[in-house]
Amino acid sequence: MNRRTLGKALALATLSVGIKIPGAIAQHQHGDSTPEAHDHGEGTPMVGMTSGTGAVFMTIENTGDTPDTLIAGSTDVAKIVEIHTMEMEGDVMVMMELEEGLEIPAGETVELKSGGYHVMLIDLTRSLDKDDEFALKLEFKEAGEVEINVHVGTEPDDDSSYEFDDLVITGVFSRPAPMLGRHDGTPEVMPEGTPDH
Amino acid sequence: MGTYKRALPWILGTVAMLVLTLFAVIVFIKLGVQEPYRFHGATYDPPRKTPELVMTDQHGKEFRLSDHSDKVVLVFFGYTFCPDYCPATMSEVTEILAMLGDDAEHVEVVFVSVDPARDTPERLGEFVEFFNPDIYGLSASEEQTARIKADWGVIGEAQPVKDQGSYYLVSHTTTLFSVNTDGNLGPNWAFGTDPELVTEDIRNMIHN
Repeated sequence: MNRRTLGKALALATLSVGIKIPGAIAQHQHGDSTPEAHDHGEGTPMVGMTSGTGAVFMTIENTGDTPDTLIAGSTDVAKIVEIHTMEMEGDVMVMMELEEGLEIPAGETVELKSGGYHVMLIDLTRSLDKDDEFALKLEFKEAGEVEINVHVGTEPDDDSSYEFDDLVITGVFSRPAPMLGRHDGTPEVMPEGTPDH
Repeated sequence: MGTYKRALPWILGTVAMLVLTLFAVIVFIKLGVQEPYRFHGATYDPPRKTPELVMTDQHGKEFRLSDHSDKVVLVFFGYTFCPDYCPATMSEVTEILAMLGDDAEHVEVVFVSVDPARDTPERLGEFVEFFNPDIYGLSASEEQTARIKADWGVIGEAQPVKDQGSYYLVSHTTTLFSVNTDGNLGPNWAFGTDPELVTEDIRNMIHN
């Protein structure tokens, strides 16, 4: 138990980056538990101490004759957006970030779907409820930054269709996902300066 | 010619008897042979006794699986940082409970965290209750979690921390398990199984 507490405390201490907790959410007081944002800029969460994750799926067709790559994204509903892939090894899901981005080869269609590629939303700023909608900016190497509207539901939105240069984006949706308000409420893990139990 | 004329009624009679007998046999067979229900999920052969599971629920109370032996229990192993399969399965389970209607009162749903380092009871509670207020979000110590994973034949491994030291993902088994009311494990379903098929299997477990 002690080693675990120490480990957690060290993790918290070294990763002095914090998450800005929206005022409405900071109802649970843990003493002085609203850490300051790290000055390296927004976006580096503490080890997994985020308010939850979500995923956005879509189909991207490249109707042109030059490849393009989806390299980044941004949205108000999450602090960080990354492009990820998932692979099943037997019945175990292994997920990893595509640091080089997701290539959309010329003349081909790439599907971002459950169990495969997805745009991962990290550190949600609000829950994604069914029938909710939010704007998502996507950055492509060639097409540049584009903005789409994401519908929250359990199936692709057949009505969604966007064209940006040679890219056609359809079937955009994101599954319902909760924003987790607490940031590690266990009593053993106290922010620096608070007395031990 | 005469012989045939006399034999005809006998021939007809015999044929008629044969046809009737055949008909009777077919009907008898169809009625007599009850095809046993075939589960859509994967079943254990021979049947496997349900491992005990003792963990803490989202309210800080002890949860003991054997206390719920009168219900069909659905068990899923995941973690709250999971962006795809875990919320997806919880959404599907919500659908299944809705489809079960009244039968849902014979079902419990349990979400077991394979990431006890991050998943506190409160966090688990927020996660599962977003989907359905009756889902149990369970956690235990690292050692207990390791034992539970071994008991259920489940994998839940933290992947290396991303280079900036920001977060880690957990690879885990995505099967949905079930516990039958007879003390044995019920069928399990791979991620992506049609919720209607799962519902049918569960209904069968409840009513048989």
